[in-house]
Amino acid sequence: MELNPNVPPSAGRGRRIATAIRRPRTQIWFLLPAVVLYGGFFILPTLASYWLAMYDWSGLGPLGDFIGFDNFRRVFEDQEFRRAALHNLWIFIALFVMTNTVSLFLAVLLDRKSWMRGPYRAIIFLPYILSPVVTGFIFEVLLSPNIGIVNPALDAIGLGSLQHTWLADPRTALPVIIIALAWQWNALATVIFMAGLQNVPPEMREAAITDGASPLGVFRHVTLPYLAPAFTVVNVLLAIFAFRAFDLVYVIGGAIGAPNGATLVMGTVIYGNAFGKGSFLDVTTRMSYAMAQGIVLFVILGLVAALLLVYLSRRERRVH
Amino acid sequence: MSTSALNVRRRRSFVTWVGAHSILIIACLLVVAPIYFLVLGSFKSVEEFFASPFGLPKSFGTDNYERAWTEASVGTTIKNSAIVTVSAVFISTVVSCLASYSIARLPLRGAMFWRLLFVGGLIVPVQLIMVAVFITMRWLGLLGSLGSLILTYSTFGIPLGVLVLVGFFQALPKELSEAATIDGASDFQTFRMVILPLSMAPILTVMILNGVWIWNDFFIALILSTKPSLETLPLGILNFFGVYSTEWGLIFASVVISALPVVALYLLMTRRFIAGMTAGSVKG
Amino acid sequence: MTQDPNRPRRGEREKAEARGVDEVFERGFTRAGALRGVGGVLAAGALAGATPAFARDAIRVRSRATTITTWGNHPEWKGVMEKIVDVFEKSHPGIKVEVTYKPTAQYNAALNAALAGGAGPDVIGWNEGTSIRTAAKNKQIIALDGKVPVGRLIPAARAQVVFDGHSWGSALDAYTVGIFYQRPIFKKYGIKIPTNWAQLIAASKKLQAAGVTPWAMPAKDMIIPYFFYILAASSILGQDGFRQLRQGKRKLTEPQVVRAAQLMIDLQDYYNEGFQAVSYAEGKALFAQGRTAMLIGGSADYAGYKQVNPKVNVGVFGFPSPSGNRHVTVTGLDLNYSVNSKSSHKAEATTFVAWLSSRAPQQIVANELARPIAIGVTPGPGHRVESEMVAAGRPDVPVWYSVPETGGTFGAATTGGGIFTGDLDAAGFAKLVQASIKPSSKA
Repeated sequence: MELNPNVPPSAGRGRRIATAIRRPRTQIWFLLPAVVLYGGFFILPTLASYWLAMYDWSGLGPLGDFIGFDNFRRVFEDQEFRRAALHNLWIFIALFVMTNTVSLFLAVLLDRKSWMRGPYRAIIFLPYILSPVVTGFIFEVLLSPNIGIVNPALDAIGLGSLQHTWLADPRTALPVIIIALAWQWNALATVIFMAGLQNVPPEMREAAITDGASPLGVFRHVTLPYLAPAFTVVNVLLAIFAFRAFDLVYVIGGAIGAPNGATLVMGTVIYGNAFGKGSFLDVTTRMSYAMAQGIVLFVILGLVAALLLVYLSRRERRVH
Repeated sequence: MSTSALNVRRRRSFVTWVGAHSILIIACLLVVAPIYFLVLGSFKSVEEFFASPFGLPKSFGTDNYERAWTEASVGTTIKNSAIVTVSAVFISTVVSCLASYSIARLPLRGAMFWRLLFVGGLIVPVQLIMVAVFITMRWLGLLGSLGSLILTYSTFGIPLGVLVLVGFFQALPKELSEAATIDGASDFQTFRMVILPLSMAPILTVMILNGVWIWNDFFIALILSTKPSLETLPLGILNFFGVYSTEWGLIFASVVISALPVVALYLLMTRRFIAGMTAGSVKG
Repeated sequence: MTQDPNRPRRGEREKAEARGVDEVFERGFTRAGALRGVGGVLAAGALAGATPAFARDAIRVRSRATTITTWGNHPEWKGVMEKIVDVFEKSHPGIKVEVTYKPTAQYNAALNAALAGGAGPDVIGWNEGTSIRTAAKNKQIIALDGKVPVGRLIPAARAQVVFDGHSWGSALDAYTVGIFYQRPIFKKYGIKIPTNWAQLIAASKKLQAAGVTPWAMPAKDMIIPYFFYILAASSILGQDGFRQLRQGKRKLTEPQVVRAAQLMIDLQDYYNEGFQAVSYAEGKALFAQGRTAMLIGGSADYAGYKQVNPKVNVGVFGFPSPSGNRHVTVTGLDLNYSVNSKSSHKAEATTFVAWLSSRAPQQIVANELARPIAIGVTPGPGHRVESEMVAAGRPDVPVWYSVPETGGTFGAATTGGGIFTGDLDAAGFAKLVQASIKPSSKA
């Protein structure tokens, strides 16, 4: 693995690099550990799940019959799954809007040099550190009609008429979960935007101000273009977060998506089919079917992420 | 500029200053309110929850905390969580660094393919593959140990690591590694001596991001923990929920205990972490 | 790849004890592996010194007792289970039982995953219903003919574990579900135990007017509504009617039986606020703290009430029929324990399973846990609620989901949440559940 001693140091750059290419081993050694781990504990199980999805396995006992793509076909006809997918879409849209406005705005505010900046940043990132299970639990208790503080709080500030059984009403249950998800997610988004803002060269901003641009103009024409990479990262991660949401939603809505399926997401539907709807009374599981659903989710998310990535990368490149 | 124009400008910037800070304070309040509720509640008894949801607890006694510590086996589970998280973060980061360097800086055929393969792992839903992972672990004989958890978490941490590090490595100037190569350094030496020291910030970012979700994960631990001595903190807390599900004070106390290590670490390292995130992890 | 030197290696003795020495040697014992194994044991020993849990395992290894593992699905029963295990270990020196608890809602998930990977506990507890039959068919458990004293079991328990000409295990306890009520509240407002539906509705109305929430009806997981429905329907059908339902001679969609679903809707004003999002556990706590007057509850819940409120003062009565000619309870079994066919301690596991139906553990069950599954065991003196529970069921109908013909009724009910949101009416709900019934003439 040493540099070819026959190539004198005075040789041109091209020749040295050409020599370097003639030792293919190094990159493979670097890559190997990751490939071993990833291949064994990630790729293989994914392929195995794909294979399992083609059987009629309940999760208990022998595999059952090979039914090919039947499970996949059934997934597309499944009302419950479709409804859950719609919920995921709502989550995505709501978070998309919130992130690209509120988080961005907060990040801009936090970009200004100020002595309070450190503490603000520290506090704002806090929600992302909490476990989603814990967050779901906190929100569930906050909104509880028995011991929650949201209803009494509304009463205290005179909006008592807005009091509601938030989690029991199919119309408000999902929005409330979206708020809980946003509480956690926006923390991360804000920080990533902050990081992106650091990339904006201050000279360009100064130049624009000197040229008489308004703050808004500076933002639109100078800052935003430089934020393009951050936009890509945030929005792709956002798609992943929105479609893969599970822990928090499961804690609040359960595998049944109380009330009456209004809080189902694809993750909880899959869990319910794979492991049972969370009760000692229900022991029927459909593991293969759940895996088929999982693969469909994987494909959906892959498509969304790919589309976003392509569209946003193109914007990135156009800017530069 | 005339005095009046200056005054207008001063007034406007003062208003902006007040406006900005008010918004930030509101945002912080929204963040802190649930947490405040959590911490306050951890000192209350169940009746107090019903009687005065807002009010301060009658006393700040540590009963809830003591009970939570013993009954949720916090001692064991925190230890397990710590071992698993630290090991997995370490392994995952090392592996990701090596692989990312290979993809980003070494002449690797199909580098784009590898990059997409690893990063695509972020998309796979965890429920999908856990049964298969379990079977693999059993086949390897690792089920009765924390090793299964460590390996699984290490693997699942790779996508994030590769996502962040490849971009960063690519953005480093080529002259640096070329200079090292000219001086006769092997790839590995270049990596260790030149690139690594410069990459401390994004590496720290990756470690923190992975560390947080691994510490908080409960699903993988649920499937792979076959003995009580293997349970991690989130699992212990969840078990605890099941038993004392409406002794909210007790549960809140257990939640605070489980969040404390991470929050403490975070508060100590905020500056470093945010600096890390901003130092170029977002290079596209 | 960096190796964590403290990571236990395959040669480790502790694991050898737990999974059978044969399996370890099967995997091959290289010198390097052995050395690392020694290192692992030393490290494990060091860790063992540091924490109680590890020390417990280490002590077991040193005393050379056989340890068998089993899983429990009620973490809140840990105290009572430990008592039962203690009694067993004292009378069977040389066998130790290690119980792992999974949260009730995740028990099946974890168990199925473990079994799929071939790593279940030595003694497997199956939720009531068809899973034990499926397990027997798939040879996941071994037949225990002649080992388990099935003659001692109550009929419901026997029906679960005796089939296909063999006996397969034993349950630990049964639970009966009726209506729990807060004695002080009933006394304060002068309410007598309702004996027909009119009285039930009137009592609810009276409590509501007095400012007390009459019912806790946690519907988040549809468990309590399900029990309400089958109790109401069983009160209409009676034991004979239920058998006819299973045979297909009667249907839930008959106008008379649809009244059961209708009752659930009619009482909606009297349920606790936001009940649709309240979980089973929270509902139990609300009741135990006296915030509601009544709750559909099982004998196994009583331990939970006491945990939330040690001073709880409740009673139980059977669900009355519309006209009052009878009152019913439904009885089901908790986990049915059997022996894992892949266990390396089958003999010890069998001993434990067989012992579960003997007098000593069953008396503990009767006094402190739920209902015994052995004939002739009654709650000791001073256990009023348990005795009341026994008396509350005349007649006693098996929990519907435990019987093959009506096994899918709970699954169907979970999709019936619309009954509370107005999307489903009583007839629709009855139709939904009826669709899941598979009548058979053998019932």
